[in-house]
Amino acid sequence: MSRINKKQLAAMALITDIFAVFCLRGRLTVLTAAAFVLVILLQTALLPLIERLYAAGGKPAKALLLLWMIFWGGVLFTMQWRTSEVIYIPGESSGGIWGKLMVSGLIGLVCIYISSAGIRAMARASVIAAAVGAVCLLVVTLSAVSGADWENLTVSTGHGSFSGELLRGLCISGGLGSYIALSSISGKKSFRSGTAYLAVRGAITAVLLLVSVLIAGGIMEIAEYPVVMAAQLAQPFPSQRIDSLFLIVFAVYAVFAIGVQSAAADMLLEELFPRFHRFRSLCAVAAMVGAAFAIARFI
Amino acid sequence: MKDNEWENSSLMPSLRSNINRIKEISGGSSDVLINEFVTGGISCALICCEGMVSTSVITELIFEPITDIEPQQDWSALFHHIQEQLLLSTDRPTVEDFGKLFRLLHSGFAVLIAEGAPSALAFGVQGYATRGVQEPSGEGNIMGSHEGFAETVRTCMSQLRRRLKSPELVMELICKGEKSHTDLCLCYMKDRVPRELMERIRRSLDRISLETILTTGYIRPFVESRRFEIFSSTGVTERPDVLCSKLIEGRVGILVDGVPYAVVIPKLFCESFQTIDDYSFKPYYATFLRWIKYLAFIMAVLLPAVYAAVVMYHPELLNSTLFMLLVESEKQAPLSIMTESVFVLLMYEIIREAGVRLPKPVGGAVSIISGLIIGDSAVKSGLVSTPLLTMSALAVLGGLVVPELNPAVTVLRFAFLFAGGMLGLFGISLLACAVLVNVCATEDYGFPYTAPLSPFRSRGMSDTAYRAGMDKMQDRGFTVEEYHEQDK
Repeated sequence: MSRINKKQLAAMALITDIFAVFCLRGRLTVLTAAAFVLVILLQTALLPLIERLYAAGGKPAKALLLLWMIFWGGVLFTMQWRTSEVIYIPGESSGGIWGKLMVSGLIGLVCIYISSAGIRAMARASVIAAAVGAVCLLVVTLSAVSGADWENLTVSTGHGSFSGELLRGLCISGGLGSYIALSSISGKKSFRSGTAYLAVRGAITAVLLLVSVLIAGGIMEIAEYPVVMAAQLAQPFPSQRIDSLFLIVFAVYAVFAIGVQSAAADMLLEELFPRFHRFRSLCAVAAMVGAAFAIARFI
Repeated sequence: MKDNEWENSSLMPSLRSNINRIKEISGGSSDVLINEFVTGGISCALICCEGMVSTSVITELIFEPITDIEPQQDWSALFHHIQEQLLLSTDRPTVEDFGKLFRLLHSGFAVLIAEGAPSALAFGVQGYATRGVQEPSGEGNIMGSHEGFAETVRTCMSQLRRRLKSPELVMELICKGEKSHTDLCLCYMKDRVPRELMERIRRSLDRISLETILTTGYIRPFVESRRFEIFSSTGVTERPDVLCSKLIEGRVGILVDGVPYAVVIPKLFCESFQTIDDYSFKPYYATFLRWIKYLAFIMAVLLPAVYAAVVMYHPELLNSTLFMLLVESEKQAPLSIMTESVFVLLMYEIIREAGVRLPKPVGGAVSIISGLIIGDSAVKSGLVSTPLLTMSALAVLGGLVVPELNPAVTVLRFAFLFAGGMLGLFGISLLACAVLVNVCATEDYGFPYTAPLSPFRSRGMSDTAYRAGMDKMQDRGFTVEEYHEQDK
């Protein structure tokens, strides 16, 4: 039975991927963009095989994917926790650790609510959220044009090798897990829809990275979160700043990215443990918070 | 004896026993009139409810012919003569039990009982006072019909039939409410509505075991989803032309006797922004109006919250001139922006509620006191800043552009204001996510409330993102079934 359609599935996975790009740390170069695109091309080639393996894997494969969802949800929580340090969030900046806990707690609460509303509601909402986010990002990107320094577009390996950048690209591909998990409820599998999702993801990732390099390339050494830094530097008017627009995109995408993992984990829990009816979303988010603590402690 | 046991008890052959029983059941109520007379040589009684029947009709069409009947052999011959030869009324049901007798009596029928007859004849001679067909009070328009539904369900049915002279339009009367016995009328186009949907709606209505049904609000929870929804997934309209357009699109309408509103199932979010005038104007102007309404809705929900968030936490979004202007205004106000906003919006809600509940002449005085005296003095005394008052007024006005959504908009406005006042744009974004998911989760009978936006249906955009010309819309052959999704 088809509960969500391919476009909704793609929107859900894209939000997760783009949020991971927002939270990228360390130096970005043209090489990074190229490596990330290459990783996406590799994933495009391997997607049918991965989907077939998952379909044939039965319950063990689902259990493995559930673990991945929880782990990736934890990673996203950690990313949000760390990245929010450089974004001005009222109540968080002045509140110290309690402020940060409050911000993450609120995001977690909204995630529990939206994932408990059902996968269908989340899928429909994801399309609208992705569209609104895309418009905001377009405004930020267009604002960046005036401040772009084209000399920053140099192919320098600088601080990392190409293979290192490839590994980095692979590490932020968690959205693919939710795509595979949720594709089982999105009707007939088709190579075209998977390719379309990955193509859009590749294009957006490349644009975001290249715009970040254009804007923040000159100060990449001191930019801990280059994409956020680029958004903060991209201003359309001399006397007005629009970095708050990025705050909106960041908050919305954080909620939906974690919410998608939670909804996918909820669905897998239902398939693996049919008798487990109540508080599945709550348990999924709680497990992700636990994973986030572990990741923050050890990674 | 149980409360309602009399409902199933049959009429007795003795006229006196029946009259006594009727008096006993009605508790000697003054409005139950029992006129005893002899016709055709048989003792009879004509029972009716005072004020529910038309005196002239009952005199001319019942009493005069019925008292002229020549002697008959027995009650059976008398009833046969009346039924076959006199044709006293177009609506002439036969009554076997006291339950039906009282239902008809209370619906404006006159009931004839005769000595020896274990049944009675009823005649539809309704003549109760009702409000006539008037202009709708809440769904005004410029170029469309100015006719609203009346309170009487049969008048409403005729208003629909006049507009849809098609045998495909079916109007089913059902009776609900243990005490009120309210007539509900289920209206649908039988060639447009899937049988399964009709059965599901009937099943939902079967769950109603209320004692009375006094407004549409009594039945709407039974045909809506049971989960918490901010916006209602069923609509209401007080316009027959609007209901007709919905029926043509394959929706189902429910009319409630005594209420000049019809419930429409299913309802879509985008429909709240559509008015009958949109189809009277040129498409480009109708499209412009549609977008004005979208903007007004967003303003109604978000403007006070965004104002508070921007001024309190994100002033960098403003240019220097505007920023200085706001600083100048706000520094004189003794309260925080959020408190000020809450105060102004609460004040408006109190004034609005007072204006609605009070008699109309006093309502005008309330408007003068609130608008001129309180508003003016609040600004002059510095209690409220002018920009904030402007923003609040704009938000309130925006909410009035889409009156159907106003209750939800009012509550959301406060919720967003608290979120924005405490956490700035971050709080607004979080709440927006929760609200968005709630709206997207709203669906009834498999019809998503957010269609055709999400799930996206490009064909639906021709009456959502813009209003296509009538020549294009007539080729569309749209029914709401296009948006239907399989249930979870």
